[in-house]
Amino acid sequence: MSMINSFLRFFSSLKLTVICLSLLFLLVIMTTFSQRYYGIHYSVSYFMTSWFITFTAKGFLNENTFPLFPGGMLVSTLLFINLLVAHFVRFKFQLRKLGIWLTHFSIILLIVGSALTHYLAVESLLYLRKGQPINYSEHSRLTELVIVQPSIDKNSDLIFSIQEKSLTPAAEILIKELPFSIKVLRFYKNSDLRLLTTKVKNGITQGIGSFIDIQEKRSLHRDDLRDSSSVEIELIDQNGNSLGTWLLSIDLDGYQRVVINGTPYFLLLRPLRFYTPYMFTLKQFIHEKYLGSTIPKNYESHIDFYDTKRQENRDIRLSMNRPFRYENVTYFQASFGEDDELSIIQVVKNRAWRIPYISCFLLAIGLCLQFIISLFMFLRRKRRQSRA
Amino acid sequence: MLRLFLLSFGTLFCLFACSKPPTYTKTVIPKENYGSLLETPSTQKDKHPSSPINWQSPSTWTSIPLSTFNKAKFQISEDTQLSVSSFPGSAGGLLSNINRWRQQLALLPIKITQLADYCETFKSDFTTFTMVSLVSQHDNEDERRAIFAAIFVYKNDTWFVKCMGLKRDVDANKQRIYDFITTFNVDD
Repeated sequence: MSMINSFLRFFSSLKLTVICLSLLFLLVIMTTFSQRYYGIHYSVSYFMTSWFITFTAKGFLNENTFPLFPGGMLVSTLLFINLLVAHFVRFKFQLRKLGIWLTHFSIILLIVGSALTHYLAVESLLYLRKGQPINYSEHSRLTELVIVQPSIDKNSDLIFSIQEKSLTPAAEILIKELPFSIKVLRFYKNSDLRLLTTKVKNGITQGIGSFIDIQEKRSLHRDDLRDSSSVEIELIDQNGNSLGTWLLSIDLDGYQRVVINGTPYFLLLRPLRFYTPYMFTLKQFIHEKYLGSTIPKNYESHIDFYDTKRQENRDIRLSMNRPFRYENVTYFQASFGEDDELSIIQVVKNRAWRIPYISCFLLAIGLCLQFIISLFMFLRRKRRQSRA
Repeated sequence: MLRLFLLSFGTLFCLFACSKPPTYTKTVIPKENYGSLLETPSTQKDKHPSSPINWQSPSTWTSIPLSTFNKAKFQISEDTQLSVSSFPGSAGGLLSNINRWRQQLALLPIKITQLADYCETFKSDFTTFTMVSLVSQHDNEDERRAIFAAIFVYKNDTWFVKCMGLKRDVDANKQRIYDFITTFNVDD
């Protein structure tokens, strides 16, 4: 019982709240400075969504990683527990403390919302070229190994997608609909390919990969650059015999074909795609600049949006501060290119997108309420004192 | 109070612990362009003077002198060759050709009802091929020989693309043979 009491005392202490808030403050400052050099994604994942900020030291034989500072995930979890425990241990519900209750609840909700966003939200990019309908967006960092069974009927292909996180060395991926399994030999997060005119002794027996010299490279940390991921795979038939080894890479702009039991399959590694039941067609892209400069004043996409499920067609206009929301997915005008023939739309699928709005609203109400209650109590006390 | 705390903690744990993503996803999509077919570098575009059909052979195959009816002949490895030939009409039919090849591998002839066991079809943009795969019976796996062939009809001729050699070499080149026959086309 004393152990539970000391646990509750530790986690409900105000000191812990102050320490956690101070650490979060420091982490936000470090992330802000870091993103100048390493980009938003890397900085956020290194400082804010990690349990510990680590330091890697090169030893004689191997690299060792040491925790250096608590990461945002650890601090937020501690703060969440602290607020939750303090709420139930130290505060008793009284009407005059309704504002404090609401404020605490809204901060807990804010932390829960950010955790849900971290785990559930998916961000991708939609590359729209004028007049070309498209029904998928692409992840800006992750890749997928795709096996295409073309022409399953006159108008459709069947695709099997294996996400990057499953491409771990020695992993054997069995797809019950296919007459072969895929064994991952090696995954390169970033690589450098050199196409030669003679065969290379790289262990690849099939396709263009046997002519490619491949070198592993350090992963890139910038938001505007993408890693050239590659993967070496072996296909194994149903009797356990090897059908050969292939090298697939995001840098190889095309597919490699393999024919098994008379059925052709296409193999390719490409940016992770998210297919949608919607068809987007860029009709017009407007790019306005400030007079006499190249600084963008406004860029705006006029898109023909077709929902194939509801068979509903509508015109949408996306501009810098005017996103489009549709079924838990938000579309933001992100960038442009190719002499204004290409519009890049950021697609954010986040079921928890309302939580920060709700928690901020509750926080404002809680603070106002507490102020009003305190003001009334103060005025009442003053009136009593003046009467006395 | 403690129960409430444990309950909320447990709910959160379950929420995050139970969402293991599947290894792969399966999607049916409208036909799309996957880029170009990646060929091995410097493939040789080739065609026999009397052949209406042209093809691209892998650079690792070496052209060798032709015999009668051959349109092309390649040395694939030390003991494995691939030939492209054409004959007028049905060239004796599928069964008689398969049984002739079986004889070359010291195998007994088969009956017409067994044809399906040795054949499968493969479609390219150009035509539909009948693919035949035969393996000799030998106690020593390394000494087994094999024939892997593609048969198709173009206009009034029957065409044969036949690879014969050690089973391990034929197996190692099957994908290249599929790639090779996919390059078959006629000039517009």
